[in-house]
Amino acid sequence: MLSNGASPYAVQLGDVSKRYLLDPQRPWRLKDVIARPKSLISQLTAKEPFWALRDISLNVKHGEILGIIGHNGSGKSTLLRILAGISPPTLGTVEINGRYGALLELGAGFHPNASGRENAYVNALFMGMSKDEAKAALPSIIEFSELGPFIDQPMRTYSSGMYLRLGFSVAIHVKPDILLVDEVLAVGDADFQEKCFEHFRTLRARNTTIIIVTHNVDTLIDFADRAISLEKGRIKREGAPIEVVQDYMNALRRESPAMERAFQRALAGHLAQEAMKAGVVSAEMLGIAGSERPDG
Amino acid sequence: MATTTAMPGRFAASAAPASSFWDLLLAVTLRDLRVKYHGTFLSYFWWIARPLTLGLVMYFALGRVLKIDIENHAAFLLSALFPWFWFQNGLHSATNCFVANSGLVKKVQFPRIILPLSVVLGSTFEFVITLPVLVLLLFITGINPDWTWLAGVLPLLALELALLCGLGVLVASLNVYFRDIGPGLDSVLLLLFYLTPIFYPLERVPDGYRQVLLLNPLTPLIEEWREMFLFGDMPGLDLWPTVVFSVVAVAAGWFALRIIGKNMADAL
Repeated sequence: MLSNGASPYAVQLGDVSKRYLLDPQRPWRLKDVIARPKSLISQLTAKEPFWALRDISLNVKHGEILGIIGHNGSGKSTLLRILAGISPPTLGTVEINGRYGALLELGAGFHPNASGRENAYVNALFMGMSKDEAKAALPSIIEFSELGPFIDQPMRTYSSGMYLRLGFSVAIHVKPDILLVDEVLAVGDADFQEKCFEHFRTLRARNTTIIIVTHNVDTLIDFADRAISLEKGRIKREGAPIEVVQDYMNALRRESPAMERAFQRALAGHLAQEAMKAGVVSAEMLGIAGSERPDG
Repeated sequence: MATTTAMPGRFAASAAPASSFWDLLLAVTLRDLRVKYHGTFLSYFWWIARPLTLGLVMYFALGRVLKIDIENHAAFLLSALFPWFWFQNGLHSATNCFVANSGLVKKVQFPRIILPLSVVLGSTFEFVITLPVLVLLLFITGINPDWTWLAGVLPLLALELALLCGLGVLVASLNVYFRDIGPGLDSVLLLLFYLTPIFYPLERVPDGYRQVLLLNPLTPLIEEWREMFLFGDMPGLDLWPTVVFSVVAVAAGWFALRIIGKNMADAL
């Protein structure tokens, strides 16, 4: 709040922690409160605290692209929810300098019985556009979504891909200074994913800060300026994407034989490609591919 | 630059979204209205079907079978049933609005109050648009439309809307933590229907009971609606308990949402 408008950082996190109180009885029932009036207080105090995030300090510069990687349950989505202002931090400070747009879930709040056009408009307002902005952007939103005549059909008739395209199309038209992306690109076909990344590149050119959570390490290496990996709610490693990814993959391989096999396959494929580029004879390629499963 | 580590956690965003609260509220309300009656052939008719059906049943059961003598019985019933159903529909549908939209609440940051208010506004729209039908029905029963209606309807509308907004936001917020509110409210509304002089005149309620009924904030409201339509009386000072209760309801709703709203995404 004290920012003088010239803050070099788009996002500043100071020792942010998030505690969830695990409680199998949630939501509370009136029965419990009436039967044991003190139960409200005792439930609050007796609950098992679970720290989804612990002491996260992070500064993201304007125009920087930060990738976040980590296991399921490592706190990635919690972090984005806190950044989006949806969930308050339990401890610490969050400071956002600029208008943010969040792609935590494409098409959140779309109404299945309303038309694509109406949903796009309402969704645009929900995501922070003004009425005039939304009306002006609507033709462009519809065009980007490639829905054509289907735009006036109720959304329950849409395929999941169509649903996604419209959700993404709305989200990118919000023109945020800071864009939060949560794994939304894992779904959708290759063509659509490419289109999304193309758009992210234009956003980057516009000096938009992007914070992206992904399991796709290729995305991270290609796209991010910097990366962090989360483990059990703490920042495990921070630095150049390639280093963070290597560290993350190594940890994964140590823990999971399936990951080790997948890694070997990927490595073999990668080496084969490299070999092809280098014009090496195919016999050699087969040799590398043959080492795919060393233990049969 | 503030770099202090505050306790508890603090979130500060320097740029507010450009969207206007009222535009969003209106857009959501209109979308829900369109969606609700899309695919029904008789949408307008359904808005009046419920008060009309109940009015018919009571007219027959009380007036014709039990032979209860109430002057202009049909008009007596209709003039109270229409505003009652507005209240009932509005509150009933507001209860579940956060729970039903949990996907949106958990993924998008927006003023949470939009959801209950849009539901209440939708039911208000349904009521206002059926008022001409009520006027027509009253005319058929022999009551000539009165110019005082135009002036009297505004304060009554405003008051009932305020009451609904306050209670709607309150029950919707509490329902996030206490899911009993939903089913419990239906019983409360049923009880309230009988504790409000809708199908019986207040002055025929025996002494002692009448004072109890007057504690119900809906009693003066429904009475004033009826007196305006039947006798052309302007709403007056008798409404003060409803006004007081509405103010309390709005304050309670605002307070409940302030406390619950911040953690709503985690609680849902």
